[in-house]
Parts: sequence; structure tokens; C-alpha cells
Amino acid sequence: MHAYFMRGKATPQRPADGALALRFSNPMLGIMDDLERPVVDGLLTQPVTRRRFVHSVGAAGALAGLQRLAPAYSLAVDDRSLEAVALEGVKSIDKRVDLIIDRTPFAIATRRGVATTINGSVPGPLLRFREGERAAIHVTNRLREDTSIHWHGLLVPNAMDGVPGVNFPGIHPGQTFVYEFPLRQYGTYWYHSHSGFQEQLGHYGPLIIDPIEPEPFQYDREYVVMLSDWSFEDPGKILDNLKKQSAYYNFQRRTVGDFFKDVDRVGLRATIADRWEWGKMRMTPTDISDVTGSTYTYLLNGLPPASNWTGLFRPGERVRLRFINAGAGSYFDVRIPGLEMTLVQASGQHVQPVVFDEFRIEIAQTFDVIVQPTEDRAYTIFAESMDRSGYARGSLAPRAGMSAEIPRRRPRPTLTMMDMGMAMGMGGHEGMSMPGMDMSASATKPAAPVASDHAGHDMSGMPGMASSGGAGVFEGTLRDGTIIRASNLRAPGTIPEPVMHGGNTHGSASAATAMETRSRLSEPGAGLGEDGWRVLLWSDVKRLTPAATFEPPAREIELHLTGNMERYMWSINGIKFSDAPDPIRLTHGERIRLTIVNDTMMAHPMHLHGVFMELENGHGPECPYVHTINVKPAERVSLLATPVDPGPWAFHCHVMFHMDMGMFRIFHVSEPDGSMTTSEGAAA
Amino acid sequence: MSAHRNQPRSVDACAVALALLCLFGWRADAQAVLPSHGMDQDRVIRTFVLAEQLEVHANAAERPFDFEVVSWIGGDYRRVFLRAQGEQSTLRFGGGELQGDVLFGRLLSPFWSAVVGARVDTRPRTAVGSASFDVPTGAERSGRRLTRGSLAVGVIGLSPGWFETEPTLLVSDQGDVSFEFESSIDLLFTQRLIVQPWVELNAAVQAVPEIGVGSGLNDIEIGARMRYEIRRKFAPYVGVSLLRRTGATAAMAHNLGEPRSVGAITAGLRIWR
Repeated sequence: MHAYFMRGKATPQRPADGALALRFSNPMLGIMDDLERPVVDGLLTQPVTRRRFVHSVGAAGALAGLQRLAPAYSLAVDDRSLEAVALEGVKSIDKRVDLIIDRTPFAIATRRGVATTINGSVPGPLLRFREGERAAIHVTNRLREDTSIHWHGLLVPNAMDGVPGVNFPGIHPGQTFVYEFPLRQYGTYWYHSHSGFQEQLGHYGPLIIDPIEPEPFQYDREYVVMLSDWSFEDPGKILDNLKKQSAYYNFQRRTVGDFFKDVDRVGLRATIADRWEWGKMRMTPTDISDVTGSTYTYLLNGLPPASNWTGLFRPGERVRLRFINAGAGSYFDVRIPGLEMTLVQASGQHVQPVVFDEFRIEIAQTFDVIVQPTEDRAYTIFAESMDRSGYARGSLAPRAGMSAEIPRRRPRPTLTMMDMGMAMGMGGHEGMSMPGMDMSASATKPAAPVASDHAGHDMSGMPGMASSGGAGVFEGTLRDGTIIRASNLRAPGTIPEPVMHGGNTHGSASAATAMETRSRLSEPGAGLGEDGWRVLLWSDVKRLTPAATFEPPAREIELHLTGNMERYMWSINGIKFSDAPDPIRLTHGERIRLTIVNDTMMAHPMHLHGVFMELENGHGPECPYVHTINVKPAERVSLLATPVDPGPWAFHCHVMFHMDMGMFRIFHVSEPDGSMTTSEGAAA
Repeated sequence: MSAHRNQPRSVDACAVALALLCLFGWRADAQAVLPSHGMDQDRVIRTFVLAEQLEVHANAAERPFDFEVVSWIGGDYRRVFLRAQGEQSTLRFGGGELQGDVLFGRLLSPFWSAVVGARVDTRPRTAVGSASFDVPTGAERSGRRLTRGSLAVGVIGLSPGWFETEPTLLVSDQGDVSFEFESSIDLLFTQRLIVQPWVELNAAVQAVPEIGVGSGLNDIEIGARMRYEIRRKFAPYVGVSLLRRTGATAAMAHNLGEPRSVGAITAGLRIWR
């Protein structure tokens, strides 16, 4: 019904043995031609030597370094691209893809870097499948350390999910691991390493699954727009710096000059009160991103801003842009001045169209938007990092080599008292002053079902109501501080009421708790919404087809996101993953409500593996499906899910360093007969 | 008192070794212990070494060179803290002061570690102290030092308002009890130009005349260093400080012909790794 136009000469090759590979060529730079050689089993027959790299970079100029690693779909812009080769949907079963993970040196000007590449590029090759097929992906590790690939947002059998230590032992150096799974869904997704810091080093790529059913929207042309961040600093070193000085990369802190400006603006007393409010909590309102443009170069399809990735269009065409945030630590605020955007898919799933001018994309999220440029001119795709310390940029243009004005970056946002969780208008809410139960106390009597009902956290919770779960489950969930509720839950699809925080302050791993947490889905977020244009709000997103049956949850599982910025500690319920006693146990097919409460001052993109979550944004059976959801400071987000695939599934913050520092849990889904499989990965 | 009057040099050597250990840390290489997956990275042992002060005094003849190095080695909850500081006169060899702390700390609350450990310090006997113990004065004095070991208990942390604060209670091997308090704050003039006012306070329960310490509040020193962070980890600075001796301590200093107040202008480096 529509052709898939991909710019450039990225053509799927299907050699006789059924292997699929993408061939690379780069007419723009003319330095990748050596890569265009016969393809065997989807692999390039000869590795590119270091000498070749240095030579190429020298020849192609200062910016060639990162371009050198860019994949086919981000290069090869010329006017022929308008007559782009169609990427056919793959019809065969047992389609095979080979991916080689390797270290690839490259340079920008005098700076040398070594990227972790997939088939020699950053991002990795575009994988394109068709819903209903079976994928067979052979991943070969040529690194000196273990690697892995996680298929972000895909519903795969547990052993194929790719988290070392959770789903499998990882792919050891020299090994080839075969991922095989049915493609049970459609949409735009991505894949990335779940090992070490490889994600920050370039180990990620886009993944598209074309639907069986016709899509409910039309477009003439499509592009992947993959946003990410690159640093020449070793990610281990970045983390070390953050552990020793958490504001290491923040060069936008408030100064003495700002103090006097504020005195002029709001008066001395108010300024001192404000500084004391923050100082008392030992928090800074400028703490938006841990790692910033001071070390990151923000990339669009692997290209730095000056390289100006360009997607071509004919005026009047409808262009589908598949945005993917593959950043290791960067949220992006994206707009295309002069064009309004229409959201058609979120997290890979169809939604009712929403029109806006700018959106904030949380780390690991995928948004498909359609734009319709009518003028014969270039448009800038402008993706500011959330803290405004830098930007990724590309262009939509009718011809190669065109560019439009790059907007000025806006002032960096500051957090407000709202982000601290200051109570707002609490008068009418009964029950909120109920004293919270001390979790450390309840942990000592784990089997008591009454302890699962955490009155201080829940307006609807009735003290003494027993939960329907087994005592063993409670013991585990209570020991890691997770709150379980099983009765008197509010209607499915409704937004959570504001709740005062209970007495549990989560210990020394948590610098603060939000006094009051509430839904903030209808807020654009820090630094957005003041510009006079429309911003995408999660409260406006509805799934395309309302659910025929929309079951209420049988249990509510409440987790608190916690952190201590001073020591750069990140945790859930004040307990780092390495200290967390047990997985959180779920029963096969049970309907759960997952409530995520952010007690920190930073935003966290939370991702649950193995199951789609339904974001409770007030639209009942039209609540959208998500694989990742942003949780703002002092926000309370609730999601419904019906996990069916048995086994241990990772749940974590997608800020890579937050995950690595312990903002991570395992949800273990039982077999249909109720038994628990042991985790293969943990044993290995 | 006589027990430690002629302490062997080994104690000094220990203190110097401690200072060196602080300076270079013991290289618990974070990379080496990182597992290949992301599961245990929150348990990596790290080594932090901060040379807060490596400075020369522009005008004080008695102590032209000062250093203060702090370090921690450990994880999120438990850390070994090492602190070393000293002053050396370039005019008279052996006239300097040196102290080193080894403290075991545990994170008690989000911003505070409780610490307990030991201090070794060595400093020259004062003329006042010498006189009261019938020890010859003059040239011999410089060769005679008092070296003590102490039990140290305290907290290290960040108090409301972003003050780095370190109160410490000390009980020496002679049973002398003293208390010291240090606090400082970073004020950003720009993102790299940072003024760091600081205050240091010393008090003693028992007088130790040998080293010019009276009972009660001994001295208050305030100062500020203005550093420019060329890199986060490398910042030259200039500083001013004013030491004000009080009470019996001031009287002892006065008898020695030393002033009650001492001002200084300093220049130095702040580096860390």
C-alpha cells in the first residue's frame, strides 16, 4: 500500500544462502567505497585497518571522523536519493541477519576515539523485519569483553531478551550467539548493548517491524532519526568523575551573579529563602543532566551537528520520521521550525493522531511523527539536549547541500519547588496525613499481609486489607521496600491522585523524598511549554483502538525511585540493585498496576522488559502502550501490564549510569502453572 | 611526658608515609574490577585523592609551604578516609608540622559519614613549653619535637547550605582532649572561577604547653581561596587567611614574641584524581 523509501543506497542484499546484509557506500565523502565489496554471510569480507581509517579521516577533513562510522542510512545524500531504492518488506521465513560487534578506531581532527561498532558503523545497521516472521540474528563478539544485544521494546522469549546476568550469560569474546524469536508486533524500535558501558560507545541501532495490517496513516517517504550522544572520554572515566564530583559536567550552575539578578527580580528576602530551600536539601535546581554537552557531542543518525544529516523530500510529500532516542544520558527536545508534527506511533504502537510543534523524547523512547513540508526550502530538525548544553541537528531539504537556520538554544531550565514535591493544595485529601508505615519495621515481619498495605502511601488503601498474593511473594517484595496493594484499587486507566509520602525516607541512599507526589503527565516538563507553541503531552496520547476488555488490576506494585546525587548513588526504594534481596514476583497472566514514584530531583526514563505497559493517563481503555516512560521529579506514574512470558525481566532507568549504579530491579514472571523458572543468566 | 620526649624518627616516617599514601592513593583500579555486565558496577571500590592545598605563603617567614590532602577509598557506604596536612619552613629544617589521619567511615545519613580512627602528629616544641619543662632553648629547640598519637572520632559531610564540614574530637595518647572544626563552601563567580571561604577552629580541654596549646578555644582561622578550574581537576588559586589565637594559647604565643593574629597571602594548586 505504500513503498518504503529509504534515502541512499542502503539496499538489502539477499545472497543465495539467505543472508541479509546492508551494503555501505558513501558518495558524499568518497571514502567508504572500499567497503562496498562482496558480501559473504552478511559480513564484510575484510576488516578496515587502522591505517585506512587515519588515511580516510585525513583526506575527508575535520568532521569526517564520526561520519566515517555513520551507517548507510545516514549517509549517501545526493539528489539521486529522491529516487531512493525501496526497502522491500522481507517475505521469507527464517530471515538471517549477521551482526559483528567490534571496536573501531576513528578520529575527529586531532581527537582519536574507539567506538564499539555493529558491522562497522555507529549507529548499527537498520534491521527491518515484517510482523509475523521469525528473526534469526547471529551476533558475533569481536571485542575483548562480553557483549549482548537487547531488543528494546520487543516481546521476545525470555532467553532472547539479552540482559547478561538476567536472561543469559552474555556473549563472550569470539562467540557467536544466535537470537531467534518470532516477531509478534509492528513498529519502530531499537537495539542496544546491555553490557558494561558499550551503549555509550556506539553499540545501538534502529529496528523496524513492518505491520501485517495496513497502517492507519499515509506517507510518501520515511526516515529513521536516531538521536544519541558520543564522548571521547571513556564512559568508565565519566562515571568515576561523577562519583567523585556529581556536578563535574554541569557548567550551568547558579552563580553569585545569578543571586544578585534574582535579588533585583524578586527581592533579597525571597532570594535568600530560595537559596536556603535548595541549600537545606543540598540540591541544585540546575541539575538537569548528569553528563552534558561539555563532554557529549550529540548525534543525529551518527552525525555531529556540523555534518547536517539531510533527509530529502519533494515539497508537499508526507514524510514519516521515526525518532529514536538512543542517548546514554540525554533527553532531547525536538522541533522542526516551520513544520507541525503529527504523532502516529509512540513506543512503536499506533496512537490517535496528536498535532504539536515540539516534543521531549525520553531516553530509549521511540516516536513516529509525520510532517508535510510544502515549501521548496530546507527545514532544520533541532534536537536540544534537555539541559540546553548542546544539540543534535539535521535537515529536511528538497535538495542535498541545503540547510536552514539553526535556532538559538534556549536558556537552561531550572527545577522548581514542584519538582521537590512540595505539597500543593492538600486540604481536601483525606487520609494523606496518615502516618506512613516504616518499611524497615515491616521488613522485620515480612509475612504479615497487613504490611503490604502501605497506608501512608495510598489514599485508597485501607489499613488491614489483606492482599490476595502468597506470603512468599510478599516477603520478597517487602524486603526490597516495594509496596504491594491488592484491594480497593482505583479504576483502571485513571490518573493517580496526589499522595503524601509515607514515613519511609529510604535510608542514606536517598537524599530526599518528595513530600507529595502526583501525576504530571499533563505538564510538558522543565524548560518546555513557555515558548508559545504546542508541546506533546503524555496526557494527550491515546491508543488508536480502545481495548475491547480493559481489566482492572488485581495488584498494585509501587516502587520509589531514589538517589543521592552527592555520592552519585541511584536506587529503587533506597536499595541499590546489588543490595536488592529478591526479584519482584509476578504471576503469569496477572493484571498488575505498576506505580512508579520519583523521589529524586531528576527525570528517569523507566523501561520494563518483556511486556508492554499501558500508561494510565486518564483515558481508560484508550491508554497508550509504552515500553519506556519518563517519570518527572516528584511524579507518580501508574501503568497497567499483563505479563505472560515467564522468566526474569529487567526493569530499570534508561539513563545508563543510573542503571549501572543500581536503579534496576528484576520482575520474575511465573510459568503458567505458577512455578518459577530459575534464572539461567544468574547461574552463569 | 618523658615517655615520648625522644620519639624515634619512625613515627615521623609513618606520618610521611601516610601523607604519601594520601597523595597517590592505593590504586584500586576501577576498570580492572568492572564486570562485563552492568550488574555489580554499583559496588566498585574507588579512590579519591584531593590535594586541597599545595601552597606557598607570600609573606610568612615561619611556614612558607603548606599542604592539605584528603582522600577516600571505598564504596558508597563504607570508606577509609585519609587526611594529611603539614607545614614546612624553608628557613629552618625540622621546624615543620605534620599530621596524618586514618579514619574508617560509614555513611550514616545521606550527607554524613561517621568516622573513627587515629591521628599521628608531630610538631616542634615551643620555647614556652621547653621552658616549663627545663629543656634548653635556642638552637636545640628545633631538633626537639613532640609526636603524639590520638584517637579521632568525628563526622565528615555536607551540612545544610552546602557547607563541607568536618568536626573531629581527638584524644591523645597522653589523654589530652581536643576538638577541631573545619568548614568551607564553594561560591561560584563563574562556572570556573570559584571562591571558597573557609573557617577552622581548634579547642582543647587540657593545656599542652609544650606545643603552645592552652585550654579552651585555641584559635580561629578564616580565609578564602579563589581558584580557577582550568580543568575540574586542576585549579590554581590565590588565597588569604587570618589566624587569631585566643585565650591562654594567645598568651603563650605572646610570651614567645609571636603575634596574636597572623595574616597570610597564599598561592597554590588544587588538584584531584
